[in-house]
Amino acid sequence: MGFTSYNDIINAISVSGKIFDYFFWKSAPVVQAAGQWGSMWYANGEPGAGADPAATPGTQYDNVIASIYAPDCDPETRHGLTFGAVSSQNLSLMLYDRLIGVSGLALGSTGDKNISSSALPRYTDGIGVMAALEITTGSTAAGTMSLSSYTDEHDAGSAGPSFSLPAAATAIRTWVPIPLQAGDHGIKSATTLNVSVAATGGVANFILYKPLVTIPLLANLWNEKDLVLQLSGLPRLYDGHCLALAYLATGTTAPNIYGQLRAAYE
Amino acid sequence: MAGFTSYNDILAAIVANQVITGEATFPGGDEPFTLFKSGPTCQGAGTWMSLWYATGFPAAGVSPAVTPGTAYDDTAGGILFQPDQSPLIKHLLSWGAHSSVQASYLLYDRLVGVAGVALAAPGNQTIESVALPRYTDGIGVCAALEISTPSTAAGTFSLNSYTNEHDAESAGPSFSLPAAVTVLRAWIPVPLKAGDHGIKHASTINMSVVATAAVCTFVLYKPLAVLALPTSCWNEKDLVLQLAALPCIYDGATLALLQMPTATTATTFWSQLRAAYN
Repeated sequence: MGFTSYNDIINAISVSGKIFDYFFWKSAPVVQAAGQWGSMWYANGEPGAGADPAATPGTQYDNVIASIYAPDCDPETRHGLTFGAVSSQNLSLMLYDRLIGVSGLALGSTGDKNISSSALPRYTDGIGVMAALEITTGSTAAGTMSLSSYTDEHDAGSAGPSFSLPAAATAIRTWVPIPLQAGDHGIKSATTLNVSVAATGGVANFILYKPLVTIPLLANLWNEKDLVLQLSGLPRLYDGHCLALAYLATGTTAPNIYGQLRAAYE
Repeated sequence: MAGFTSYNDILAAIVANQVITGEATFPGGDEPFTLFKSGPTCQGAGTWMSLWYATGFPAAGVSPAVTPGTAYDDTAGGILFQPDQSPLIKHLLSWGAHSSVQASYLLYDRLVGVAGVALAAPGNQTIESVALPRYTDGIGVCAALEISTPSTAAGTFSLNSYTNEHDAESAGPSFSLPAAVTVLRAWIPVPLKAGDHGIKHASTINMSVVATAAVCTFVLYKPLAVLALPTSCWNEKDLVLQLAALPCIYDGATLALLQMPTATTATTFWSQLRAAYN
């Protein structure tokens, strides 16, 4: 199973019709500022707005509505072929597989916050899996925190360095990447987030995700990457994938984004 | 076996003249389908505009019928890759274009149009669209409003009754026009319910806040490819090796264009498409 040649891909598209061709669009939220990531999980458009995950141990995302997903194809394997988009603002757009979400982390008080996340539904070895906070209630103080207890890709207990929210007044839907301990190349599960300086008013989802591809977009100009010959990426879309979007902003104006993802399986 | 099994198959098809020029009376040949359009004055940067009614080659399309509307099938005004080749399969191989103003262009298959949907009247407006002529499973089919009489006040709407790709009744969230005063031919994507990956049929659209004076055509369409064009600079994409896309062109396809402008300036557009079948 899987593609053994470029001709295999042509055959899958043309003869077998094993193509997933999805056109998406999102009215993204106002983001924090240039250089900060914003989540489009809750943005209206196509697919529609996502909902909050469950509180600890959270939600394992598996073909969840509001994500971009194709039907399961096991034992065959599905791969992304192209990813393109146009945005009303300059930005960089990331496509990622949303794996785990744990809602309701109160950043406005100090101490350990229980995460105790569910097991990964995909990328179960944890390699390349990343963690982020997705702000659901904006803060009025930056705060300082660390992922103080988690399991890395070697099944070892680990603790990350401290980090802060990008600003005292952090906007809703800001996406804050969480640093892991030096040497860790992924995360399987998280136990606690320690808040050493409170981010007043802030509440966040804890997210585990796998970045797949990122493209730069100049305002109102389509950009598209081939993921086979232009970038030898062929990102695997595992059964149950739950693709979502985040963007790295160049300003605070809310962008509208339209895009297209093609994938095929064999 | 219908379809291309390899790149060599594509080369063999081209050499064997299994290419489409877009001229129904002259199938085959090695010339690409060349077209041009003079677009409308645009709403502004970031708002899609329809070129369906734009003059040029192919000539301007006409308004579809009112409910249940028009199912587009090799319809005049579209970019037509005739004649039909079933059971063989047609694919786009390349798409290039030039625009007098920097913009992005979307090539789509226009499936169904229902004219005369009044956005200025409160409550439910009937659409009751005809059956899809292609992509009949509804997967990947999108909906849009194509402004045929501009508004003088922004409204709020929702596609409150439609049939999704699973033959289930569904209702989409609310959305608004891009501005209080919209321009003729503005194209407003209609959001579907979260989880729906397509639409087969639309029943009604609900106006919770009316868009004074506005009338639109309700359109069901399938996006195929998008191209970015810097001002007066040709750009072309190979859709086989540069992008692993090979968009399929079904018999009866009525291809048309949308423009994502960077300004309000009306734009002239030149383009070439290559397609082959096997």
